[in-house]
Order: sequence, then structure tokens, then C-alpha cells
Amino acid sequence: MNRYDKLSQSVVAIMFLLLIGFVLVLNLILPKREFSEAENRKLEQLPAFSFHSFISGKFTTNFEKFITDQFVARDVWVGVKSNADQAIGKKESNGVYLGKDGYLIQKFAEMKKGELEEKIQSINAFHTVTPELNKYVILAPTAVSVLQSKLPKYVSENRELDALHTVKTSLISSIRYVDVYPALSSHQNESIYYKTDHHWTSKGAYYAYQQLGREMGFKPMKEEEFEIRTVTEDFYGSLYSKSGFRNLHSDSIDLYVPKNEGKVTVDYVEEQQSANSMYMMGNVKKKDKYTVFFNGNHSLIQIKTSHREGKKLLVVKDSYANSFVPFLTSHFSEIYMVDLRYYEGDVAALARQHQIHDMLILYNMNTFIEDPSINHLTNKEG
Amino acid sequence: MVFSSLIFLYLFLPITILIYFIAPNQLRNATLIVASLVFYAWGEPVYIFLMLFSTVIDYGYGLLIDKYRHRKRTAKALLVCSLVGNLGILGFFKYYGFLVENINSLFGLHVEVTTLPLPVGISFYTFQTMSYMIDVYRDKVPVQKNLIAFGTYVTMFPQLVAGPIVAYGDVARQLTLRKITLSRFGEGTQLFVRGLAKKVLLANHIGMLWSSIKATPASDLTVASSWIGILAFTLQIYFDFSGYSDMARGLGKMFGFELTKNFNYPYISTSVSEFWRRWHMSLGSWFREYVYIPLGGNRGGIAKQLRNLFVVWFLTGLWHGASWNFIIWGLYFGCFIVIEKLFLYKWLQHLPRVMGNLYTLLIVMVGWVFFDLDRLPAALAYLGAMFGLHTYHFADNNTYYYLSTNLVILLLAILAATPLPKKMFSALKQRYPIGSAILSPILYVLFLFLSTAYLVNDTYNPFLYFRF
Repeated sequence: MNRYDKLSQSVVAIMFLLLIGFVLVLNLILPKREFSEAENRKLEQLPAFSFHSFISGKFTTNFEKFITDQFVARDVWVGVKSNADQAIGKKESNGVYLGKDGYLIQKFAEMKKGELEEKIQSINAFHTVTPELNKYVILAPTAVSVLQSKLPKYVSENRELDALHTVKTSLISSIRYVDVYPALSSHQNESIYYKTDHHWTSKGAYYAYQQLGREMGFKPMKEEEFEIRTVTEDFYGSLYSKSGFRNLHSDSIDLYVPKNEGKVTVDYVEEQQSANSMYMMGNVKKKDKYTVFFNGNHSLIQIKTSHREGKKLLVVKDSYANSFVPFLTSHFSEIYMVDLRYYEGDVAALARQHQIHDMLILYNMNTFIEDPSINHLTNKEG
Repeated sequence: MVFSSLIFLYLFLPITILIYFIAPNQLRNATLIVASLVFYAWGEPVYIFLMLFSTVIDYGYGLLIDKYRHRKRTAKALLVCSLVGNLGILGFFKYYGFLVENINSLFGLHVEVTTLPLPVGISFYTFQTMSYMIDVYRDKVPVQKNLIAFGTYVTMFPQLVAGPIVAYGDVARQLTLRKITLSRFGEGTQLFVRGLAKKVLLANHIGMLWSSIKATPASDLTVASSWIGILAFTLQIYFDFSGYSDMARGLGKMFGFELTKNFNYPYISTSVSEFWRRWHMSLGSWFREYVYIPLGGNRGGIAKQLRNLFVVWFLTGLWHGASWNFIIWGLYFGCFIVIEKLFLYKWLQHLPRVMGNLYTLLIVMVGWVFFDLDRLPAALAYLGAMFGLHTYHFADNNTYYYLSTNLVILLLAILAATPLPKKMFSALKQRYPIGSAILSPILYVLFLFLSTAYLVNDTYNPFLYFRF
């Protein structure tokens, strides 16, 4: 103990008191936020007090969530943590890897026993009751399988490809399984997945579209036949929010617009709204810029193209299809996009009603594993 | 409420400090009690009444035992009554389910058990009040006639929920006489911030590594991965618990209390006996003072001593949880203590310190497997992985991944578990007294900032010793 010890301790005391007092006051007087852009979620508000909610512990839990969510300069603290984590060598957070070259890569979902088999069964069962409907299945591998060179050192992931193989060998043979992995894999050094989002880029979707063309028998358009428009360079996507990693480069979103641009009518059936474009351009100003494609996910979207002699196509999908379907407008006269997470009708009846003879099931493998809605294929209305 | 939370740091604590230091001296104990009740009720809105009931009853018993002190048999009966009452409450809330399960399997019955949630801190405050009553009976401490002062002893929030278990004699005088200076408050702050950093920056981080490895089926683990995993837990539980104890002591100091130290660099021990003199010291003292010595301690021959040790270690294990793995854990250490007392300790004295240290760490780490893997088959499976019974692989890509992404935090944690940083800073202070006097507050503020950043991201902030 030297004579400076007491002084040093007194300084610590004063600084501590000032800090906690200051933060308390700031937290009390600053206005509360409703929504976090960076985390893409609503922030907890002051919970209502009631005797019952206090006794059950609900009030205290929500109050603490409220304090944490509304903490002054929250985004700054999140950034500090992210930098500290990266400094000590952390390579994953919240189920997202921090890969090389600034790639955020989602970890493959945990598979529960029997769930995959159940889903394959649902598709097979649906095919058995709709044999007249030509079926094509695209289950897109995600970045964790295709961009293995970008994964952190020592990480490898085979489960997704193994699961894809299981699907391929278990589907009824008259269902055409369209394997897009080779196409994507051969272009893995190009920008085919977003760095901060779990979706494939338009370029990635393009290569998958080419593969579908070869299987379905239409001639896919060459890249030169498109005008590639960059609509934003500031896209920070889902994985950016989920992981909390900061100081990363943003993504660009490109639209592949055919040079011979035809007219398109897009009907959002349940919402009873219409548009003459597949793109909601205003959404590039929002946080989730991927919603520029079809304004996000809807239960049923009906697209009528200027290609009047073409066939009709039914697409049962997740959000990967949103940047994929625009490539199909030159090959079909009508495209019906069904999202089983929202659509409650009878898919088979829908196909019959509109005399559709071709159907595409398009999911990314991660969502296919995590989401149970494919089991609703055989739902009957009512 | 937990110390390592934003609501405690930036709402409860500043308000409590403000009110406490504004209040006149005579009202300070009452203020502390009120704050402590708010603190406790926040996490335990129903069982707070149990704690209050317990406190008032034991206060009453203390008075009665003192009153009938000269009537030996009455005083003894009162003491027994109070102990049975306290142990009864503890037993009912904590051990009832365990007891019924075992009776069921012994006699093939199927008695229904509705397990009640465990009131927070019950193992700590009941042990505290029992120590008070025993010491009053023994005339070791003066009885506390002031209910407010007694209430302060039991409920004060720094030690209410997770210890250290404070013997009444250690704080008796401080209940009515406390002198707080700015530099002493600062000393408390330093201790508190160190504890906070241990918990939030070290324990929580390493805990994530252990969680990943623990979740892997034991048959998929390589030998190296399983050792990395248990090393992670070994560090996690130390920093978690000692961090919390440091925060408790720091807070106590801020309000003028000197609370007992609970940890003294346990992982540098060179024998298991030494380990238990450095780990959770207040619990060890309690069992020594109120169980081992009354039973006869090491007097009365070897057989009696072994029996006494068996009882103490059985109870130590049982205190940690109502489950066989904890009892086994306690007895496991009991065995090694006995072996050391019989001959091993003398052997160890002849060996270099490093050997003793490695031996101790090995025994302790294997012990932790039983502690945290609460199903016996899982614990045995994990040990199997550690000793290469499932696999011929020493390491795989997962091992390298765990190691490479956690190397810095593991090294920092291992370093922080030794007295080395303290010695280095002392040496620095000697050479550069002014420089280090300036550096020190900056470092503490940095720790506070960093801890706050991690708490704002609070998705993973468990406190392991909370279930006691």
C-alpha cells in the first residue's frame, strides 16, 4: 500500500458513481425506441404492472428485457461487443459463422430424427394424388455447403449435402429432382450468395435457373440478354442482424431485367392488390432490402406475363424463389407462387382450377429442414 | 435480481447507494433491509415471505436461547427446535422430491411428487441463521436484541442470494458500527468491478465453449475435445462463483461491511486438502465449525475421524444439490482427503510443487464431470471420452476449431486464475507508483464498459450457483 493507493481508490469510487448515476439519468430521460433497424425487430416497451404479472415473474422478466432493449446507445454497445469478440478470435455468434472475406454464413439447421423423411413422404404423397401435374423439385444448398472455402478454418459441413442426397434418392422417380449444386459449386468464386444475408444473389439464382431450363426443356436466356441493374449497395441482411457482427461490407442487390422487357401483371390475391412490376422499388429504402422482390412473402401471387402462348407454372416456395421467379417470366404465360407458411387452401385444387400442368417446388435446404409447412401440401380446404 | 445485470448496475445500485448515503446513520440498517427486500422480491415475489418468516422466527429463538441460557436443558431444547425448524424448511423445499424418489425406488412405490421451485438463496440464509443460533447457544457471540440489526445480518443483499456464508461473529460489530470512507468505497468498487469482469467477460464466454462440447454426444468427442470441454467448465465455474463472491464482498465493502473471503486461488493448490481450504471457504468453515468439530473432529482415533470426514463430505455434496451425482462428488473428494491424511499428503511434500498441482487439477477436473453432468451415465460416458475409451482419435477438426477460436480466452482465463496478474501489477506499482495510480482507475472503467457491452447483448448470462 503506497500513498497513491488511497487516492487511486477514491478516484475509482468517484468515477464509478458518476458513471452509474449518469447512465441512470440518461436512461430515464431519453425517449424510448420502438424498432431496431440493425436487429430487425421490435424493441420491448415498458410493461404494464399488475399484481398477478409481478407474482408470476412475468413483469420482472419483461421489465429487465425492457431495460436491456432500451439501454442508452444500444447499437454502440453491440458494436463494441462485436469488435471485442472478433479481437479474441471468435468465429461464430448466434448460429452464424464469421467466414473469410467478410462472409457471414448461417450454420446448418439441426435435424430432428425422422422429420426429413416425413417431408419427403409429404411430397411423394402429393405426387401420388396429382400424377397429371409434372413435378420439379429444387432444394437449393446454402452457402455453408457451396462456399466451403469461405468457412472459418477447421469448419466443414457435410450434413446439408447428405440430406440433399437423401431427398434425391427417396423421391418418387417421376418427380424430377433438379440438382443445382454442381452449377452453384462451379461458380463458387463468383458472388452467388450475399455476404450479410442468407439468400442467394440474383446471379446465384440465375445459375440455378439455367439448370432448371436444361431439365424442363426451355432454353434459358443468356446473361447478355439481361440488363443487370444494381438497385442498392447498402444491403445489410438477415445474418448481419442475427449474428451481431459489425464492421462488415454491405451487399449489392442486382435485378436481371430482360432487354426485351415484356409486360407483367402481379396480383397479390389475398391482399387484393395488383402491381405491374415484380419489384417493389420503394423497399430498397427499408432495412430488409431483399423484399424488393415481390414485397416479401405472400400466400398466393398470380403473375401474368406478355408471353401469351406459354405454359402455366405453379411454384410452391420459400423466399429463395422471390429472386428466382423473375427469370421465368419469358418462358411461361402464368406463374402462381404459393407460400405454404401463409396459404391455407388446397394446392391440388388450385392447380386444377387454373389448369396448371407444371409445378416447381423451390426451397433453400436450410428452410426446408427448419420449416414444417411443406407437410401442408396435402391440406384440403375446410 | 442478479448482480451482473443492467437493471442491478444502472437502476437498483445507484438508487440504493443514493438513498443509503443520504439517510442518517440510525436509519441506514433499515434502508439496507428495505433495499434488500426489493432485491430479493424482484426475483422471488412469493418466497420472500418464507425468508422473512425464517428471519423473525430465528431472531425470536436467539432471544429465547439467551433468556434460558442458565437452564441448560431448556436452552438445548430450544436450539434443537430451531435447528430442526430450519433444516425442516430447507429439507422440504430442497430435498423432499429427492427423498421421495429414493423411497419409491427402494420400496417399489409410486408416491406422487410435486416438486416446488427452490426459493432463491435458501441454502445460504438458512445456514447463516443456524450458525447464529448455535453461536448464541455456545455463548460465542452476544445475542442480537435489535430486530433491525438482526434483519440486516440475514437479508443484506450483497450476500443474501449466493454467499459468502457469513458467521455472525464476523459482522456482529459492523451491524451497529460502520465507518465508510471514499477510498474504502473505492476499494469495494474495485473488488466489485473485478468480480463483474470475471463473471461477464470470462465465465460467460468460456461457458459457451463448454455448452457446445457438452451438447456433443460423448461418442463423437475426441480425447482432446473432451479435455478442452472440462477445462472450460473448470474455469467457468471458478470465475462464475468467485466473480459473484467478489461482487458480494465489493458491495459489502461499499456499505461498510467486511465479508469473508470465499476463494483464494484454488487452482494453484498442490493437494485436494489444500484445494478445499481455498475453494468456497465459507462453506468449508461452516461444516468444520458446526459439523466436523462437534462430531469430534480428528480426536478419538482414526475410525472416528474417518466417520466424521465421511459425514462432512456426504453433507457437502448433498448441500450442492438434491441428487446422487452431487453426493458422489462430495464423497469422491472425501475419499481423496482421507487418502491424503493417511499417507498421500506426506508423499506430495517430497514431490515438486508442479506434480502436486497437476495431481490436484486432475482430481478436481474429473470431479467437475460428476458435478455438471447430472446424470450418472452421462458423466461416465464423458469420462470415457476423456480417457480414450470411445475413440482412437486424439483430436479432429472440431478440436482445432474449438481451440483456435477460444485460445485467447482460455489463456486469459488460465492466467487470471493464478496470482500472477496480481503480482505483476504489484511489481508495476512498485516501479511506477504514479503511473499505475493513473492506470488503475482507467482499467477499472474499461472493465466496466466492456462488461456493460456484453450485458447489453445479454442472451447468455446464467449464474451456475443460483440453484442453491
